[in-house]
Amino acid sequence: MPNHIQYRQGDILLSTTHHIYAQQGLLINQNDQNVSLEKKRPDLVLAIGEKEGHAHVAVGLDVELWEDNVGTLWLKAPNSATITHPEHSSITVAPGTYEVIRQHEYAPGQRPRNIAD
Amino acid sequence: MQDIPAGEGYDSLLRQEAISIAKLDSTARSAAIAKFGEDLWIKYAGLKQIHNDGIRSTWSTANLNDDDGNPAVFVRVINSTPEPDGTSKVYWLRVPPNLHTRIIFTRGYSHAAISWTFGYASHGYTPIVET
Repeated sequence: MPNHIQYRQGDILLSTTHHIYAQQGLLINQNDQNVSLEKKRPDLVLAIGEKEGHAHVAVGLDVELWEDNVGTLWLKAPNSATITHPEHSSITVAPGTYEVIRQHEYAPGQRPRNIAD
Repeated sequence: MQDIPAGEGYDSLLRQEAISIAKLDSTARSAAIAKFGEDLWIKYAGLKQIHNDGIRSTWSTANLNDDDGNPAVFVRVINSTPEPDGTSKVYWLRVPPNLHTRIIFTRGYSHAAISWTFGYASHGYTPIVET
């Protein structure tokens, strides 16, 4: 049994919080920070790609997208959700709450650059 | 790539172009490599393969350094979902030159490199589905 469940679609990774913390009702991000969801987003766009209209979008019953207190997006999918993108096969994720992790690359002397496919 | 006449300086021009491509952001770099030709880019950027797990590979070149003089390292990945024409997009993502993590020894350098691109310095990158 993995500590968390992850799904990847191109340049985004959806990751549940560690299952022990989830049982305690805590959201722990990938940097082991305890975060809280603060702002509900009006849309379900997880990330916008480089090309027009190329976005990772969540679809599903009662699906919500939230921003936490450190600016990271979290997907709440109480009844599962399907993630779509024009260049990637859709993914259906199990019910849960997922941290939306953007892929980045190394840039010498700068902060890592986000990748947008 | 623009037409460059063969002759004196030809290799030098191609090396300069290859290094310029390496400095682009990942999306522009991937498009430029597709146009330049991947084999030529590898040759003229001076890339040497340092790991290959059968799906992803990691490459290094001393022709492009970071601020500390370390050689540039790239991980080559292929989109899991093919394009409508059956081809698959290839991306070359730059990663730090010194990935001294335990998973290099257990899962290989390329897995460690991809883990880093998603913010996992040591362990934790374990997707059950990839598209």
